[in-house]
Amino acid sequence: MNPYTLARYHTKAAALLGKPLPTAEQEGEDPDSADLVYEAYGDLLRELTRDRKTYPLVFQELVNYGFRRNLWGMKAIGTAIAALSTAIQVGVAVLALLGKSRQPGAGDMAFLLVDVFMLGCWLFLITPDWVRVAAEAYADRLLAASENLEPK
Amino acid sequence: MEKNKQEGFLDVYSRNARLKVALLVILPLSGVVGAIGLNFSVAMGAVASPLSAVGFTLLLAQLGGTLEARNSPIFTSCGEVSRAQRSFAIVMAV
Repeated sequence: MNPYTLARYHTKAAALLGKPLPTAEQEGEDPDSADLVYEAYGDLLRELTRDRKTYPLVFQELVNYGFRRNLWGMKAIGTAIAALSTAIQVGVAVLALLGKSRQPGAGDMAFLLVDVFMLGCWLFLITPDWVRVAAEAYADRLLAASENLEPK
Repeated sequence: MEKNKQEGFLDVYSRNARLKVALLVILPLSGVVGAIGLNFSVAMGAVASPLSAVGFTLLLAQLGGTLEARNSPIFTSCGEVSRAQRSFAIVMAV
């Protein structure tokens, strides 16, 4: 982050929170206390930017982040369902090839492709790094919105 | 009125961050139901697939909303956040 922007954010944070953010040295000496200050400021910023009409960009990034975070939270279930579905579809296709079921049609193939694609997404796309991109965009937007906030 | 609209089950956040997630989770299973239904009849497949998708999706969306608060710190447990990124970490546990 640009050091001047960062300094401005720190000044605004101190004004809003009524307490200066820790310096790099203070944070190095006592990271747990520094975390408490950052958490408190995060809580404050979220509360002050709840209004979706006043802060539409913050809300938009919150939605994006929520979508990705919830997908990550559902990864185990999603992967299991996609893997099970793919296995069933492949089993049905094998039965058809062995002549024990009707021949698979275009619809069956489409369903199988969807299942394989979804399994690939769950395994390789939905990762912590993928969530982090949205988390950082949300954080950026939240910090930018702080510039328009006034201490109460 | 506006408040009720925002707090409804299908407000913007619920649609995008919960319902879409539930749909994506359930999509492969609805495909299976559709394909198995096709084995019996085209009509059954056409009916069974959307019905299963809608039913399970609504269930998952509700479940997702309930579990969301409990799971919210999940991202912070994904890995160590560096000191330089600490300012970003403050908003990860919404």
